[in-house]
Amino acid sequence: MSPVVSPNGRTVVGPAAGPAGSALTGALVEELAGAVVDRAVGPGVGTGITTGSGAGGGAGREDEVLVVRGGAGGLVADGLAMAGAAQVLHRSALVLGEVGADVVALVARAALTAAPVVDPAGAGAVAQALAVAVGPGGTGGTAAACGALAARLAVAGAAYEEAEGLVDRSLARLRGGAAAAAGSALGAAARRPEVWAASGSTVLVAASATALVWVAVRGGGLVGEVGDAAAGALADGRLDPRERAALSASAAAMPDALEVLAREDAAAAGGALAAEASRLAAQHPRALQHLVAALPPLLAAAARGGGGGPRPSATATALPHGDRWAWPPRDVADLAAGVAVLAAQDGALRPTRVEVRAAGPARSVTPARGTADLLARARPMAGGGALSPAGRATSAAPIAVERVVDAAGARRWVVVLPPTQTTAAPWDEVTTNPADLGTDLRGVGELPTAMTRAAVEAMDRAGVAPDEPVLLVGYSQGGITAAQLAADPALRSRFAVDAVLTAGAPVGGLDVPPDVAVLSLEHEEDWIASLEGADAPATPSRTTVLRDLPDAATAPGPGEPADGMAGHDLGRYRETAALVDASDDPSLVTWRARVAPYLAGEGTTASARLFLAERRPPGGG
Amino acid sequence: MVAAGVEALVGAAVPAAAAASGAAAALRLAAAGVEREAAVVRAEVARARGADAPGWRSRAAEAYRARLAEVVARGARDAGALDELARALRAHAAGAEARAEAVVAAVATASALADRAAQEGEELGPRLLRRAEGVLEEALRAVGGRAAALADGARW
Repeated sequence: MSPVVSPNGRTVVGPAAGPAGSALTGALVEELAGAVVDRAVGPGVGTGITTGSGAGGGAGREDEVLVVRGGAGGLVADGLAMAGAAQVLHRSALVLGEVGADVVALVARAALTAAPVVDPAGAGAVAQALAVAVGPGGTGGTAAACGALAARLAVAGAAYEEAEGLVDRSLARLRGGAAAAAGSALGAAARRPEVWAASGSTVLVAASATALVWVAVRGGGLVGEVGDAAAGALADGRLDPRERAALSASAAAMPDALEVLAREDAAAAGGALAAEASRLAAQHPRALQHLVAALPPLLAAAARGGGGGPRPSATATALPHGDRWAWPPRDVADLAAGVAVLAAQDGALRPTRVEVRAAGPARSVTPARGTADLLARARPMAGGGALSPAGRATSAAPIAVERVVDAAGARRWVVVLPPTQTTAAPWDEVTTNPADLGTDLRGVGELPTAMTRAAVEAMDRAGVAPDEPVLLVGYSQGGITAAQLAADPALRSRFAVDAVLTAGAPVGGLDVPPDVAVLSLEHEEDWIASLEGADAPATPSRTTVLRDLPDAATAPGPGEPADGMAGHDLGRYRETAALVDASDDPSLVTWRARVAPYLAGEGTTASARLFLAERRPPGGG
Repeated sequence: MVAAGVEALVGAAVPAAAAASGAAAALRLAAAGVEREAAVVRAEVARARGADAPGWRSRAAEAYRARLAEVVARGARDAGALDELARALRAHAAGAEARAEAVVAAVATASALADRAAQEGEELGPRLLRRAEGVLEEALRAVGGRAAALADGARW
């Protein structure tokens, strides 16, 4: 297994050869292999450790290795910036070339006089200086080097642009194609009365689950190989025609390869496949991300009723209260928004009002000392009783607004948003706590929620001024709300959102602008963080830390339910945050510098106010 | 007869001195031009230093930036080399001008000797004229030979 690194910065280990990657030579992959060490870091040991995979399994992985995607030290490429730089260099090459010609002409004109005759020694010195200045070691050589660098940079920029499109298209094609095929079969089956008579929805659900697990486990790996190989091939900024042709052929052949796999698997014992799928799914909780991402195309195909009819066109209809409806859903956000419109409170069908009240006066607190300390602010919100339909022993959702004043008197704010407080079904009105599953659904659907409204009111009432920088902190649902607020242009016009810290939150689909620094912590074992069906974009402003928890940490304790929630535990996320505080990964160092003004420092003081938000009937008192 | 020889030599030396002086002026002009080109190179180097494609982060990007730093350093060295060329041109100009001044001084000396020779008797006069011819011939040798050679100043 040769490690490669993809252009979005995710560190992976993938086979150098395989159904799709075999076209890439081992030598090329080996050449690129060194890049991987830059992005896997252990606490206090600096860069240079990686023994495992973000995508391929935990065999041999060291427990406390973080995988860092994106951020200031991330592996990203901006083709336009590269093309712009290439133009600058190209111009420099031309200018240097012209300088050489001009200088030769100037000296030649002087040489046409009696000067060489009357002062031959001086003329010799000039000739020597001229050769140095404009010859191969002078402007002539520099112009050539500059031109070559410009040309190579332009090619690299174009290759990155091309490859990103290639990988994206390949992923979309595979997910869409495979899920559409499964959905088509389901749709055709659903139209047969005997299927319903026999087992009804159970058959559909089982078939859907099997199809999606298969797509995720088999198809996802296939795409991963092609995508990572493409990314790896481009990591050095070069893509020769042979590599380009090989990659294109691999990508084009993916659907066929998938079909072959499907035939092979179908021919194999069904039980063996199911066992393998179950085993792999258990080992890779984040495969749920692929399952979720496959749902929209599967639904779209099922909606056609099978038989490969024309794809129905999907358009989003704007509804009151910021809701929208799109059928068939184009993506996970559409799907969640659609379900939320039908099922959750707060929207067009069942609007609610949110009431925010202060829970006592502001009290002095010790400023946070780091990322782990910031995340610890959410601990009281995640405790206070087991998560149940009735809520965490309270009918209101807490929001903490902390004012941080530095020695110079500058004010900054840390707003801590709560995780889900109740497991009541979205349509269940058993609690007035707005941090409910309906808010989760609306958040993933990128719709405004009672909690986003409550947060805005809490910030207003705390006295956050428009020009005072704000750091939003949220665990689980709190992370969704934080990212939603940061992604909302209307909110950013009222408050200076500067940074966002999320933990265990599915925020990959939310489009946070580049001037807001985002750090997202995700555990490989945390399926909650995968519910948006997408990786967060690995941009310079957006850093995602992935941590593979030790097995002992995710095993349920005596008497604990095996609900897969151990990976979502806030305590574990605080540990991960502590690793972030100790890491010397460039992205994490940059993050710490960004949030340093919100943390304890010489002369810095802090005070916090707690607000409580509750749902109220619209127009009620 | 001897006085006519001095007169011929003075006739050759005066344009030689003028040619050397003109060459010095041309060399100083070239030096100024080269200095301007060095300034152009420095400005271009500063511009190229910004071509670091800030949106690109990878190991390949680091390699690119190392290469860019080399090119920028080369450009800075190029500007220094052009400064050196300008200095060489100015030194060359000073050399040519020194020769021109030497010829002018030789003409003055030879003319004074010829004047004195005309006033002396037959014994001292020819010796003074030969001395004047020697001074002029030496001055002309210093600027490259006789008038015929100076006319071929295009030789490099």
